[in-house]
Amino acid sequence: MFNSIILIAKNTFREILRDKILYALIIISILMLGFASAMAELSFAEQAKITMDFTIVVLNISVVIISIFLGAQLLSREVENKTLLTLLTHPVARTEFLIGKVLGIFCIVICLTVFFSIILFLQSSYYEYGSPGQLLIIMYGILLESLIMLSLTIFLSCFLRVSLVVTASIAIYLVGHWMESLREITMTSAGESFKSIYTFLKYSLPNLEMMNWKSLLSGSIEMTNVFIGKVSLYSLLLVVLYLFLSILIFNKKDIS
Amino acid sequence: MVLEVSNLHKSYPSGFLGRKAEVLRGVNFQVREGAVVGFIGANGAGKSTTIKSILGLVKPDSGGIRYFGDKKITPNLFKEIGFLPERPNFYKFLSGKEFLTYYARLSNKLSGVRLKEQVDLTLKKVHLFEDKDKLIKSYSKGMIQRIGIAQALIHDPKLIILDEPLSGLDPDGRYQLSQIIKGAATEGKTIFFSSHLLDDTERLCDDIVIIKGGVITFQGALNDVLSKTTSSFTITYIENGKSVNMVVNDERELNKEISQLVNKQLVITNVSRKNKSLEEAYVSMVSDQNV
Repeated sequence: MFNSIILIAKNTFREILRDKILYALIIISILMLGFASAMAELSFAEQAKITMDFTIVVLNISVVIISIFLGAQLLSREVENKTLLTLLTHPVARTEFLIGKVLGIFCIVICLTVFFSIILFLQSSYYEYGSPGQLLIIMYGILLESLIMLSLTIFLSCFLRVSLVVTASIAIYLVGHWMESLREITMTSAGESFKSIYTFLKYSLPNLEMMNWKSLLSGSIEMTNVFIGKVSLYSLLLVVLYLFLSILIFNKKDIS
Repeated sequence: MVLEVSNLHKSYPSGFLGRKAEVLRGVNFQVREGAVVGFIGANGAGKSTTIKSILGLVKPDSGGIRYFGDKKITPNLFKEIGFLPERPNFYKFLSGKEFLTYYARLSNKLSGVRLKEQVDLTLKKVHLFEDKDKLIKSYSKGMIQRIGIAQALIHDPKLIILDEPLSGLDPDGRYQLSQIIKGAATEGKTIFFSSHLLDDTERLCDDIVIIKGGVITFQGALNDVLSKTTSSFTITYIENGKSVNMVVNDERELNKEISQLVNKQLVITNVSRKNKSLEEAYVSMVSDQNV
């Protein structure tokens, strides 16, 4: 079982590494970083803070967008190219196939986060703003968020078309970040229907704002190990849940 | 029997309101060990759905599928089955050798030196050894079809299932692939392949299964099909010093004409029987069933 999973994960990793789209997305991210730095140079005060804030936001969006694109294509590409037909007619269970593919993409997302973290560390040491510990925690939050989004996208791709998967994932990402704002509005709002909508969203969508630790740099929030542990556990549970649901659907799906 | 399919039904959702289109309506057939079986039928007759159902890619609504006696389809059973889908497309970022090595490892039957040897041997079998280091994206259609056959053969399966392996290939490609299929059959493998190219099917197969409208309308030896359908006879005789050919359509007419020629004291130099081709036989069988 593990042999097949590792082989598929390795092949998926190699497939993405050899795909020009990944490099195009990375180049776009780097160009955006350059643009952000140039814009920050124009400001009169707190250049370092603005540059670092921009950098973190760009890196966050880049990792999440790449995760969504990779997740959305995970199944569709195999179905369109008919490679799924030949893979599943070798001694490979559907569950092994899905876990292997997911593992391969997880590895890419982790590598990408590490690569972007190096850029962030270089930027930080150049501007002398932020400690390595803070940056590490921020990037860890981005990684958790990306893995949740990746799993969610894979789950959606089991029953939606690629374009719909991407659209739905981006919408969920945005709502997932507005969860705290929605809660605050709900506290002040008297409308019962609004509260019901919030309750529904709260329990059906991930609260991604929990992993948003960017304010750590400015010192406006403090982080404890217990809190990081709880958020990690929450993220892990979501990832497992989405993958479990994906496996359930994928195992019953007709492959044609 | 290597494969037994009984009463297979499959419907697909069609439009709104939960309507379903029944694609397979009780498919029954068997594939005997060592045979090359052609699975023929018109487009939309249910060939691909049948093949995907027997491979577990599509879940049938009902019916039984048994391999090698009494085994049900499981991932482990694919150690003994090789499959090539219709119009395949493989990982373009891999070279032929990388691709085949990947599938050989997935088959869980080979490792180490034996794996490398098997990969090289299979590449030679499909005439791709010289192109093994080229990326698949640079392969021609014929080469893709051959690397596809190679992945179906790499783990040395007992049963090979091919969905339209010869379609879309040029005459050279069809010939090469036919030779590979013949070679596998000579090694004792059972081969089940769908096709609508009846000339090639006739040259390759021992048995045929005909599907029409989701139902099997014939299963049996190729020779049975050909002999069941009417043949024509040609009588060659000498009249006024010239050789004359007379074509008659059945045996009764043949006897009658021969008697008349003998009575006229003409010299009969040859009587030959011309069997119908599979294509003619298929068309006549299908049109009979329409009546």
